[in-house]
Amino acid sequence: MEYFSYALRRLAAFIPTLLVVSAMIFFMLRLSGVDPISVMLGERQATTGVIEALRTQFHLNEPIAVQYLRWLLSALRGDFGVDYINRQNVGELILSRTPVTLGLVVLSNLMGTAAAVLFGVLAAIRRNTWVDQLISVFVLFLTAMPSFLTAILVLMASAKFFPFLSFTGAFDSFGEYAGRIFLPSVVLSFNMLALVTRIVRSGMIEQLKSHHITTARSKGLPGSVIIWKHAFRNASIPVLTIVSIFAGTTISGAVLVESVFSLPGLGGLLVNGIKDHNYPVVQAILLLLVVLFLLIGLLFDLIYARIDPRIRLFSNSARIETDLMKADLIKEGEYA
Amino acid sequence: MRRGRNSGAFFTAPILITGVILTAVAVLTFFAPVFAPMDPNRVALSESLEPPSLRHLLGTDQTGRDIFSRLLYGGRTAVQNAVMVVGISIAAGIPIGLACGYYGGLLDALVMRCWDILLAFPSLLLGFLFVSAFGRGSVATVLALGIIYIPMISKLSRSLAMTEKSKVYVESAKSLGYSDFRIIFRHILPNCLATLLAELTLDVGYAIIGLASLSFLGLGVQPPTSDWGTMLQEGVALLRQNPLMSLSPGFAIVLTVISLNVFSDGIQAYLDIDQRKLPRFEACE
Repeated sequence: MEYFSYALRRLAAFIPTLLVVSAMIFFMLRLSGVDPISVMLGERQATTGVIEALRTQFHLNEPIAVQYLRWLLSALRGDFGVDYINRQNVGELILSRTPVTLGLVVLSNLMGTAAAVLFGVLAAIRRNTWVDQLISVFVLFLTAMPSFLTAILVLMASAKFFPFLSFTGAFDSFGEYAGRIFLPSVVLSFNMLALVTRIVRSGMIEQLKSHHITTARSKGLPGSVIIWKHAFRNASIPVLTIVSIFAGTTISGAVLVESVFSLPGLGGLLVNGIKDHNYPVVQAILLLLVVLFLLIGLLFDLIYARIDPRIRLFSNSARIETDLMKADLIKEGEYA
Repeated sequence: MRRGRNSGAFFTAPILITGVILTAVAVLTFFAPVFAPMDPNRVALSESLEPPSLRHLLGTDQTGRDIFSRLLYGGRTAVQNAVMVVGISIAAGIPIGLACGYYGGLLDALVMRCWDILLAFPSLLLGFLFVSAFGRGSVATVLALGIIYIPMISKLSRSLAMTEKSKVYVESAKSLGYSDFRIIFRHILPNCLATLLAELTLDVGYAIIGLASLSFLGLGVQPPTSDWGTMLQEGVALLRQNPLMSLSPGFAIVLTVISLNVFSDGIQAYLDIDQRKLPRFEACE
């Protein structure tokens, strides 16, 4: 019951955020002062009659607040309108590009977390040995490497050592799709790997020192049970938070990595949309990506509250520490 | 040789090494016109895509521009812009955060709501939004990233102010009748400064990467101005012809950011009493 009410509260908080975010996206795009009509016409000349017709067709003669509401309501129904330049349906355009971006985000999150847990636990068990030091140097490098640079290096290496394989460009079959997104996902997972490894390591070191581990050892439990069932289970809670915050970085990182690997994902669509002032495309993609980020956060919060009842009981008392931690973590995930 | 009382506590090997690297980067890029062997925008089509030589230390790009000179000038753009980003976030974020932490209440709740909205965006996407609103170019991206960094830094200074304000020195300052302004900026701020400094050092590194990402996508610094991100992007297409075109700015970014990270870790280790390496005691004569 208590869990249920927590979930309801979190869901309720989601709606105003969504409203404000969508308004911000819509109105900020209009701040640029570029007239949609000139975007539509490009270099072409047009009579006032044609321009008027376009204005009516795209509802540009209505007050901007009405335009916003019209866009929001139809977006909620899944209709994102028509783009200014090619007059394509934005929803369909986005749908055709989604598999790449979504695949990259999901795959890189899974791989990054899995590898980070292994590295972090290993570094904690072998604390202050060469293994730990090697891992921490590796992590430091990955932290400082922007994902597009890693992508460039990986591309160069693959062109040198596997010239017969191609990792870039469009794809036709599912097999080709999987092949295309695998390498970019690895690249994209590096930054997350770096951050999460550090969190897992410090969490595990903390846990391994605690009394319940001493008890477990004195009972003669096997090492793997102690590490995974007793220590890691407790250390895993902060990991969930970080992964959920970091998901945002993988979303924006996907845009960069896609552009290096020239994959047909949402990133290219978004960047070109920004360059061309193609508002319907830009606002739809931004909204969808933000919603994706918020949904991931929501999902993780719910899992989190399921695992640790303290979260839903004391939502305010631990705020200062969580804020400090979050500010720190968000910073860490700042770059893509 | 006798060691000074505090030597070894702050000046540990990592801090010294990264300090030297960072100073070198700062001097080389800031005085780029002095150190650069030639004009970064000097086009010489007859010398295009040359490998490294004595004349062109890192070779040339497709239009025969000297990569080494562009690297220095590009570093100047990148570092200056990153410092400006952090400057904007300090100027707005620290006062707002300290005030929120000190006063609490409605102001705090309102401001934190606003930051939650900004943090609902994955950061680079917020950058995209700002760039589409204010146009492409370095001014817009610096402004955008500066604004994006405000929530982070103000949340940090808020938390610090909240812990500081319950301490005895604040109480005594209050009982002396000092104004809130004076307490916040003369008493609380100096006590938070060290932690903030460690954070801001890191931020410069993140700002370098963030700005480079935007330039890389063609939304930040516009050619022909040299910038590490723009150079990387120009080099990608010519990776086979001259890999140094994108590798050298890439290496510069990684070196600078790693140094900033290690340097900031050093500051934090110094601040954290448990981790601090104390100087060895020496027998007094």
